[in-house]
Amino acid sequence: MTDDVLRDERLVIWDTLIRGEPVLRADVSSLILGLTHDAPDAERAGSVLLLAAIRYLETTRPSSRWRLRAALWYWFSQTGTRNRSGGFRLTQLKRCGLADLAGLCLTWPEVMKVMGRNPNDYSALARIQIDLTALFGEEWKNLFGTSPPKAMNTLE
Amino acid sequence: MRKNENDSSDFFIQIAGAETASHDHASHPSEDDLLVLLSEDLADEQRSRLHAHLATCDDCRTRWRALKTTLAEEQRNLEQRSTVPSLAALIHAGHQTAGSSVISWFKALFETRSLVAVGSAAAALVLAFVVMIPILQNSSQQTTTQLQVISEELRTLQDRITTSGSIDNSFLLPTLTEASLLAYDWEALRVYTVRSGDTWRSIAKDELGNEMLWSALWGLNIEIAASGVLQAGTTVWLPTRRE
Repeated sequence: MTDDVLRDERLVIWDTLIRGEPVLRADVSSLILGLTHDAPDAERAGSVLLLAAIRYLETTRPSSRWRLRAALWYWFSQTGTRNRSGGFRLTQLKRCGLADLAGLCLTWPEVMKVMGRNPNDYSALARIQIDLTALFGEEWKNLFGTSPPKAMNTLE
Repeated sequence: MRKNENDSSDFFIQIAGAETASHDHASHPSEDDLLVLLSEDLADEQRSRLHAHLATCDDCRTRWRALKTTLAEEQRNLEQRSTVPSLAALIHAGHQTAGSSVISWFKALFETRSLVAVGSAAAALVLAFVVMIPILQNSSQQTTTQLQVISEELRTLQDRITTSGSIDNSFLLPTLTEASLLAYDWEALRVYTVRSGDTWRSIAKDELGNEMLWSALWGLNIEIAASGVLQAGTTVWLPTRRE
């Protein structure tokens, strides 16, 4: 599989997670196997983060799993060119997908509002980032035997 | 945390950005595919595949958003044409001030109540006629007097209904007035987290000081209200008091 095809497959899984639906670890593992030996680090990072997200869902209490979905909404909404036209309404985001989020540049309180949570609870974002960073590091080390990159600008 | 919100998320946002970076596609979804996606009548995997494509194809995303905007505008037009549009739609339309939107919505609602009153009056006339037949047969003086009284009441009721071009004040709710609605800014909204045991009426009473505003709150939060359940922990929009 080419890098773009692999990335499209990962995006299908990201979209599934964004909608809060279950994902099989086997589906992600097959994508990891598809990584070529010389895959760029950016490509590896996408796959490893997906693996970390699945592990987060497997190891976290059900009552805390909403945090992953909230964080994905927040992160993916920062992608693309900012665009909130077309009668944008927060309340319509409950069943949103990847393409709905791109360019919305949601703030964390807005994400929490749609989730029906306390909009001022920034600790939920801090918590998921700490947990995912740790899981990302473990998965990276397991797969590639090295320490994970600290930032994307060191990946290329 | 707010200050560092973006800093600590940078790493993940960068990965998300790399994942959704545009690339060339061998094929693209048709208009029909995009319409089906908007109608939400797709299996989950097909839906995710289309979203994955749109996330990495600028042209298709532009087409899809234009289609989405057109459909949203059409939906808004339909809502405006209906007899009693949703309060939320009126507020979001932004063509009028929030206060007058709210008043229009209530006027439309009360006109509907007038129609109910006309129906009730017609039913009352039929019922009165059926009940009066045996009484008429007795032809007593007392019955004649009662008939005159009832006829007079019915005539008054009919007059009230036919002459009230706008709203008959007697149909207005006891404490819900234009002033009480305009005391709040229905566009500057704040968030309220529903507590256990809350109802729309109790929220209106406790948070706005006028329980008759419950129906305005209901309309403002129509997406939640339509679900029929007001669960503790849910956040709803409330208007802010005007200075």
